[in-house]
Amino acid sequence: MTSANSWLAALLFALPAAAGTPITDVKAPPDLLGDGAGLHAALERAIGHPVWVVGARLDAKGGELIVQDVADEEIYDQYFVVPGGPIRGPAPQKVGSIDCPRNRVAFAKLDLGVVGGVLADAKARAAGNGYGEPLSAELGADVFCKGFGWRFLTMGIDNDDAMLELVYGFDGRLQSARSFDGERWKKLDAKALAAARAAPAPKAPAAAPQEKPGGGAAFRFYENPLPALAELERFIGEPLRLKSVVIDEDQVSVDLFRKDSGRHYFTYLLAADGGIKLWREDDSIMLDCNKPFAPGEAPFANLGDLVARALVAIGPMQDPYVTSAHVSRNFGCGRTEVVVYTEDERAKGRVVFDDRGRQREAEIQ
Amino acid sequence: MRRCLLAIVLLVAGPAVAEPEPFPLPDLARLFDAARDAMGEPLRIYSLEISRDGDTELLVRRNDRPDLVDWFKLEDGELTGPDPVKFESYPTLAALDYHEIDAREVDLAALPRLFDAARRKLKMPDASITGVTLERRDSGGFLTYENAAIWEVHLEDARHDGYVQFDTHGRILHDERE
Repeated sequence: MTSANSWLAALLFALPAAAGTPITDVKAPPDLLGDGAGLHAALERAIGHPVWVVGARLDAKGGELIVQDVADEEIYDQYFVVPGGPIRGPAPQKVGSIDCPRNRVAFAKLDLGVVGGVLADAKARAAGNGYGEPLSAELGADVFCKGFGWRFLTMGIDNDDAMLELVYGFDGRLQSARSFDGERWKKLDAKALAAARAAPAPKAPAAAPQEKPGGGAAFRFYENPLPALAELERFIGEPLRLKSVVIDEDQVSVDLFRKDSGRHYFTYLLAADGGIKLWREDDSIMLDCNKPFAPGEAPFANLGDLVARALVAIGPMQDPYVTSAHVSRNFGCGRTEVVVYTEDERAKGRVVFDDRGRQREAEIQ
Repeated sequence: MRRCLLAIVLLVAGPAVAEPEPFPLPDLARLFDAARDAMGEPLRIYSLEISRDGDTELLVRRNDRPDLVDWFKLEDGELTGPDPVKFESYPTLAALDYHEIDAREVDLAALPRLFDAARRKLKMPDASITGVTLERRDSGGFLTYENAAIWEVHLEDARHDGYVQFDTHGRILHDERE
């Protein structure tokens, strides 16, 4: 490919982001990472006035720079570079799109010559520790507008829950390194990182799916969900320790604790045709009721009657229908209750019954 | 060769800065007339919302059932309604009384003047109008106006977003630009 064709190809590649942006008569050097001084000089000519840099992205194939006018700090512009091609810009940027306007560096003092080095260093550290290859260097800060510098964020190769974050200063030196294990961030020792001793723990193998295909059943959940719950009990092979049960016409969603699972609970979905699948599992949170109940402690057998009574009790609604019924222990983690949710064309309502089927509340929301 | 290619790219890329989109102000008089025909007088507005493409939703209280709110819509020139409004939590009668705007207070013909005033106030002369609402509410800002019927005009240009709140006499109550 000729050099003319190569910069044109790069420019066309960058078009979606730079569409509508004017083209300057200043060309970027052919080697963006190897000629930082040349790139800086070209950008300086293209921009033509003193600016702060608030963000940038750069790799061998191209990059962009977001700058703030020193003379009018409400003016932000974006410039695009491709190897050997004309610099595009300015593309006006909205003030509100700048996440951290206080994080900025004078363009005159920004050494673009360090970018090739930090990108190569970040690639080596990531590869040596089992993380994916960072594709470009990004100048910016974290979500709290801290740690303004050249940043890299990459995911673990064998564990995509893990992430590696590297931040380099404007002098090209590594300032911070930390990893995310899927739950929390942890500082990494630079020496361990350099010695390739900071790989993420391998991802735990996914549990075999717990699923039973449907067929042969035709449960009518609103009339009586107990046969479906009995089916679930047979499927998991232990008595049901229920946390909550959400019933609608086509599906029952059951949160339950397993034997010795503590605060950890499992959500099973039951289909009207008898299908069962483990949908998700999680830990209950503060103020959640962790005291399980057995099916016999709640008025499941009378659900059809409760649904019919709820539609009468919510009388001011016009032609109400039931959207779901929720069964759980009541507020305070006491006895069980059933909340029947209703809607009509204008409003939503709820009717609450206690464990003996007595109506406690009926309100239009 | 390069100049030729550059020209092609320029043609593909289009102009440097897009012209502000003209705001397609809908035929609000037709919408209000339809609502009056269906609901009778007085027309009791709950809210009015015009999107950037001119689609409009007018929520009004029913005169025969003041506890209920219906909507009328004007989308691509097509008028629909009245249809029931379904609230997440239905307002009480007192809340509806508090929220209501008498349509006789509302000067629809003033909207273009409000747009110009908003552009001037925010110093965004080329801004496009991105949406308009009319609702009774508290105004923003340090000095607030409680439960006023407020026109809120949203604007954007290449560098800023903003909005200006007006009362029904066209007086500016609050503005913000970012």
